[in-house]
Amino acid sequence: MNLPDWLIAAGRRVPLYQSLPERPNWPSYSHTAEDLEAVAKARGDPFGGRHDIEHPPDVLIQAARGLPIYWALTASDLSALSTVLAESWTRLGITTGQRVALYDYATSPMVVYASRAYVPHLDAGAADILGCLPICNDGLPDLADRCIHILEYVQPSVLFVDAELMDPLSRALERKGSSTVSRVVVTSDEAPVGLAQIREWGALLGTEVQQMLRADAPLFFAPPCATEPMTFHPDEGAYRVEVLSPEPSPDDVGQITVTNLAIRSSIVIRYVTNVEGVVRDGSCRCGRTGRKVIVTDVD
Amino acid sequence: MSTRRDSNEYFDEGETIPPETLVDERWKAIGTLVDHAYHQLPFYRALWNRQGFAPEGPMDAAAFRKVPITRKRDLVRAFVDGRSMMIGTEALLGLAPSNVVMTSGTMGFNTFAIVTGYDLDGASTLAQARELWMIKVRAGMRVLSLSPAWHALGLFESRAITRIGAVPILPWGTLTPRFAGDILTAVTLLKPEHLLVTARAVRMLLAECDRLKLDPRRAFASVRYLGCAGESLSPVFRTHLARRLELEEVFERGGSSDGMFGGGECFAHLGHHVSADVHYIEIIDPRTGATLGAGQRGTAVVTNLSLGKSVYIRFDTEDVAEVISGDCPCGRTHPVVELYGRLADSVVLPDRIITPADVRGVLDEFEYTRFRPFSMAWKDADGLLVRIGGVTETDPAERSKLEVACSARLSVPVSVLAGEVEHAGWKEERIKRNAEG
Repeated sequence: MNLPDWLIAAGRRVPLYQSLPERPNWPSYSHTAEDLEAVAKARGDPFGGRHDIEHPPDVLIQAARGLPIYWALTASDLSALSTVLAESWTRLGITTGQRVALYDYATSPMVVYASRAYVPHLDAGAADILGCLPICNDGLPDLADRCIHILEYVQPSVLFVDAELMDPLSRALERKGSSTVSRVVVTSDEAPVGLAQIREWGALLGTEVQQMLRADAPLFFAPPCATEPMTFHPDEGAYRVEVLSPEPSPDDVGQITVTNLAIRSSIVIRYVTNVEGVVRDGSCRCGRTGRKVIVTDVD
Repeated sequence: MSTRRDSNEYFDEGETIPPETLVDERWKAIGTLVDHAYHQLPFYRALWNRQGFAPEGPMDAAAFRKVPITRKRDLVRAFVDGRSMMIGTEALLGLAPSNVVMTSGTMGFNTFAIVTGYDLDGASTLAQARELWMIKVRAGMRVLSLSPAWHALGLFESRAITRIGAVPILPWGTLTPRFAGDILTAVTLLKPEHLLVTARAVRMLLAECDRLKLDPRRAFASVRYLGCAGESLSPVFRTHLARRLELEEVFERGGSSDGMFGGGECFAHLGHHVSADVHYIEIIDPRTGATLGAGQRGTAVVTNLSLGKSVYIRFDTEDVAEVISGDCPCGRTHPVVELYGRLADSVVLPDRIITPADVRGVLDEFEYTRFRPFSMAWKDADGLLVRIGGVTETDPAERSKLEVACSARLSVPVSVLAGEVEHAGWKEERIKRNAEG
């Protein structure tokens, strides 16, 4: 993998990549969430050995739900991630002046990088960059009724919602005899939803339901392809995606592995996600070029 | 608890502006605001027209009292009728809205408000930065903050942390029991010096320590200060928190998503300094509508003095409050407002208002009722009836002592009963009740 020099140098500096167990069949630097936890425990390091102390952090954020590992991020990291999120929003068709609702926790990456009002030290979130108007509902399932209230009164063009909240939201809509004209974008940390489920939700809600690929531990998000199902186009400038296949695999299927090129104060090289799929180069039917991720392990 | 001023006590020079200057500036700002609202904001024009009010000439105390009070039900009706998040209270001055925020929905309906970048960089964040500074948040300090992104004060807090230059710690989730473990882990691993949470969240964290058989003094060893929002803290509860967590100081924070104002305590702990160049707080008698002076209880009525957002003008927050008399030892010239809790949870008598905070203060002085849930109701024949939850039987002598203490403190007859608490008047419960209703 052709990594930039700064990333290689930083990877040599931070403790994680010197502390990984021997795995002869894995490419160098590859690591999992369990590795992060093991390093955190062994070294008493809440950052899982990923923090580069050359960059004093402005913000400390828990990396993922249920994972006691934290990001140490600078203001410029926050800014870079917001730019990546804004690009994802643009590819989802979100434009200036649109209202964007977020049904997720304030600490979810889908929310944190959405507005400069949602996290300290961020100059401009995705909504600020694009000139959109965001509203966040928080991510508790029992706030589904309030989410419907937002849909009714704010009338957002798009609702981003964590997949685990789709059932409470659908039930609440049904109970209230309500519907939504908002487009729905579902996300789920390292657990993409299958096409059948997406279609079922779409039929149930009577609206277009899309999915954005998301992995919180490497701070990765990728918008869906406009034409190919279960296909996602990560930002080439922000991520290197690969497939980890320790054993030879037909069709090159393996674990999607992410290197984050956008952030500097926490170093993410070859984080192995739980997402199974393939990575393809070349032009896509949608017209995009570059690497795309095709998720394969869901029905 | 500290009792004197730091060498860098103030966030900015605005905190010690001479009171007469604050008053002059206030009436100028209110004059602009009322004129703008009447001519540009359909909600206020309609509300005031219905009540026969039209602004005439410059504003002063007498003229401002003629401006009709805005009630929560007026706002709710406007939202319901318009079926929109904008109802004509948005004084945006041609600026693009940057965020939509909500109220907590204590009437069973979450109202909306609009914020612009002008406000996020301006008056509201200045007021919040002063509050955080007052409660000892400093540049470079690690501060655990879990402010919700739907709440205006959460947004202002986020910008205020930026302005001060503190380093926020953001554990996953929100301030509910399911995330107590995440929050506690973040405290133990990342070692914040300051916690900005709710009283309910602190109780939840202490319960989590108990569950894990963890000594809170060890778990919270790094924490020096606690900024606690959400309810009025009894003196005993403050002492309890300071002792159990080994804190240098506990600060109460108060404010409202309705009205988008807040205020923190200085070291004197007399109440909440509300930035008088950003908000004007009046205390209104809920029985007569009269404006009350310092030292008298009524409901806090807020007027935002800056534009560039949804503005609240003479908005009755329905929170029981009083302006504390006299100068504050901290030297700030902005008024100190003590907040006691919701009017709906209080007993309003012809000559006084008894709030749950008053009763809580007495109950916490007795071991068998300390920190227990309770409800209260007024019975004309018997006086105040206080029901204590989680106590199955009481020693008659203890109960009698408690009743005597309550009666003496509240100056009304008080009966204390053990048993089920139907509706403790706390906010979360009321929101749930109203939503279900």
